[in-house]
Amino acid sequence: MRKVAVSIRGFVKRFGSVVAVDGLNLDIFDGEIFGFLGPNGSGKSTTLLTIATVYKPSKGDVEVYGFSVTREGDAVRKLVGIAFQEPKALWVDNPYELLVWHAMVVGYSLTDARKVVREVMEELGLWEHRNKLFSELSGGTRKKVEIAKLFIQKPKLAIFDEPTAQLDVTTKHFVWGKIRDMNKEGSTIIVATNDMVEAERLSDRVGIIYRGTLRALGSPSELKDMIPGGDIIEIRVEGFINESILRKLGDILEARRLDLSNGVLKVYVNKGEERIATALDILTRENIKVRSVAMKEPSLDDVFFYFTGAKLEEVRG
Amino acid sequence: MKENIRALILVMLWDIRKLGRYKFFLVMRFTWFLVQVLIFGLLVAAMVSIRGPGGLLDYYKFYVIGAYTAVLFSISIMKGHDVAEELEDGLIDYQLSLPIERRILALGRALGGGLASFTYSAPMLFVTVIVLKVQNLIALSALVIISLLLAISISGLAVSIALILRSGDRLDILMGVSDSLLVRLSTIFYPVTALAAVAIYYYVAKVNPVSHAADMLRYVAEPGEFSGYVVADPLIMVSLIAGFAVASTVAAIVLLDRKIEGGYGR
Ligand SMILES: Nc1ncnc2c1ncn2[C@@H]1O[C@H](COP(=O)(O)OP(=O)(O)OP(=O)(O)O)[C@@H](O)[C@H]1O
Ligand SMILES: [Mg+2]
Repeated sequence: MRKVAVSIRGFVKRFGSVVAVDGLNLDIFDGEIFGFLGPNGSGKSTTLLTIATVYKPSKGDVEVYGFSVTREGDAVRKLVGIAFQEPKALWVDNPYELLVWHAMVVGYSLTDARKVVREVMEELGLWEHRNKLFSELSGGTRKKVEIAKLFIQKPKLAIFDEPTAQLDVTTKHFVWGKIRDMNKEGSTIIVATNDMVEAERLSDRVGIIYRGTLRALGSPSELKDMIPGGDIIEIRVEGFINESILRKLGDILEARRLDLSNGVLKVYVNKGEERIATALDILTRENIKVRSVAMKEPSLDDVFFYFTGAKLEEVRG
Repeated sequence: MKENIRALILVMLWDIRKLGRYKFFLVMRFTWFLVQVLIFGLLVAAMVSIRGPGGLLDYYKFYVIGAYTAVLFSISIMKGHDVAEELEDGLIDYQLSLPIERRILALGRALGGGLASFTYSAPMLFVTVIVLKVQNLIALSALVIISLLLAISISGLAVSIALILRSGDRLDILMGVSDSLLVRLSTIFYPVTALAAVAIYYYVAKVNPVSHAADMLRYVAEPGEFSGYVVADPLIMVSLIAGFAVASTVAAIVLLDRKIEGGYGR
């Protein structure tokens, strides 16, 4: 049994008549990087803010390392840190003072706070902006200040709400590296994101939330295998394939769908890697000449579409 | 305990850190105060003559302390506005997520708000002390303490109301109303002896903590001059002011600790 860092049970959150999260059950394990995926408005931020004790559950409970967010909030806050989706700072603040204040609140002495803040600001290219007002910073720079808080804090459970949403490519890769480093140094990480590349690069496991409930949970490759007919075997053939051969192929390969156009046969199957050989075997026996074979795995995009309602075929066109 | 005191000081710094950022606001307030003291006060004092138990009242001095109390009051009430703004900008969300006990967070915001408001009004207190020629060290410290208590009370109250109303606009309206009511229906500009003529006015002014603060400041600054014109016995005034400070701080703590969650800005 893996140690559980966050246990979410029957969690419901309502805002007036809006049900933001509707009965969520989820365990996040100690030491993992957990990717939290879902379309806009699906309840990601609401869930993360509840883990961070900013919101209170309308129903159910959330525990962080065994402490309840409703009854033992003070204990939870000692373990959790969150970088918000919208950067939080006074407009009249300058990044340096804000981060030093943050560092001291999370336990650094003034001397250490100054040191660590400078290090992190330099790494993120923020040092030159240290004395500007927050209102003068660009969107991406504000976002960097927000994530800097967690790189400074290094909490046991670090929550990043769409950390790289506004960052340039170089910074994105740097931030991913830093998040992985934090994880190696012992922090459990939750990353909410809409960016499939980010989810795939970072996450040990991914949870997909849609309209306030969990739709899928597993490692990125497990999730891909969950899509029925998610793999596509593309075979370029010479000559004609008749209906009966097609039907035979479909039956033996357990294909969800078969398309043949312009000499390219597309077979939609599960676990395509295990079926390529069989497919070639059948075709050779039927004397059909194969010119090339390729297999495409579904992307995490496909997984996302699949579990959040959009149909794979529709999206593929 | 040591950890909590450290956290408390850091939270108080949140408000104090902002002090230097509103210089324009401070200059405006100060200028307006000087206009009141140097022009209005003298004009009004020349027109008004109030005779009370202690003989003829020095209305100019009475007015200057009243003006100072009014300034302190409205600067402290601005704290409510600050907090409402922070709710809307999600800064309260940020603070709620920090590893600080909620009670300490609330106490720190109330005390920090009071201290920051007092600091803003310190130049006005300085002018007041000069005009009244207060030289006695005990009287000076008493003036500071009472001012601080009033600032903490009012900012605690304003913060609590901001947390309940959750909106800067609604807060501004309510604060505007309470500003005029609490200041008008008090002994800030009218001695209690003069108010006795209008019953409602008189009774409201008598229970209004702002009256007690203003009169206590007067009593401390010049007991000889003003002891005949106070709303209540000094001991009662001090208890009421201190009680008000504790009550409004506790209100802010209970609200932040139990009731409050983030997300108001959405
Ligand atoms: N403080 C709030 N008050 C009212 N409604 C809210 C509040 N916070 C969230 N909601 C609503 O709850 C739902 C879930 O919002 P949430 O912010 O959790 O979504 P999200 O998955 O983080 O979306 P995004 O990808 O856009 O950040 C939405 O319908 C949103 O409008
Ligand atoms: Mg969100």
